[in-house]
Amino acid sequence: MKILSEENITHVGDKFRIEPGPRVLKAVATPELLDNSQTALHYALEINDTPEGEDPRPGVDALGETIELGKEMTYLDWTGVQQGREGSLVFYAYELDDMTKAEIKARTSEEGVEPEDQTIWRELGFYETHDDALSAVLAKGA
Amino acid sequence: MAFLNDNTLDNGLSALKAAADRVYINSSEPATYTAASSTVALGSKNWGAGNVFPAAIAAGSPSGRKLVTAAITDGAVSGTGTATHFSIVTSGSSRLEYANSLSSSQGVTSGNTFSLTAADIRLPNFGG
Repeated sequence: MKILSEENITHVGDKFRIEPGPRVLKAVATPELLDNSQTALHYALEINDTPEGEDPRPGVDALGETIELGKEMTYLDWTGVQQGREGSLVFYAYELDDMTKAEIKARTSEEGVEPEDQTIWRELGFYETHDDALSAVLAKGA
Repeated sequence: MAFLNDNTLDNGLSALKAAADRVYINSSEPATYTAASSTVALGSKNWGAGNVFPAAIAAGSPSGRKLVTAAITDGAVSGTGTATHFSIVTSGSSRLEYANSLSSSQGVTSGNTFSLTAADIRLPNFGG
């Protein structure tokens, strides 16, 4: 079983891969959390990237939900990764899997044309270290 | 700013302009290249390397330098759902270059096309 590192992705056989990325976190939105020292700039109550003359648009979290003070938000810890904050960088494990019937249906056109490629990289989880992710993938049967 | 890969912080906007080749729309914010291009992908536009940002690097506002993405009018929707984010990748290096929320969420239908207006990607100067 071949393990191949390519830039930032580790391929484990043909059907598994490990890739580093920011940890997913959930927390109640507060002015302190939304400060740029804590979370990335795009996690904000308002985003000022609208055309000139238009009102700013509401900021959204990682799930596309509007960010509101006092409401739980989901965010990726990009700031923590760039600051080198311990625990911010984790290792995502993925498995190349066949799509379910529902997933194929969601990817079928209105004319009834199904996708040619009916596989999807499915997230198995994220792990504290690369070795933890590799162990999980190997235990899955890579 | 939204997420910008360290490769761009280290090598500048020129590296991003030369390498990036695809834009995806996503059902949530992708944390990795794999998530952007597969797990949460709802559609894509393959520009080819060097064409995601057709114009020269320009002055950013209020500071710094910026690239502007090409507007998309014929992106291919591959999955029915609600697109909330978009991402830019360099597929040849399996690298997620940039990710940000859409100006507004879009309901998309597989087999249709999607449009995206041009977006600025700015590296600010000191102080923002």
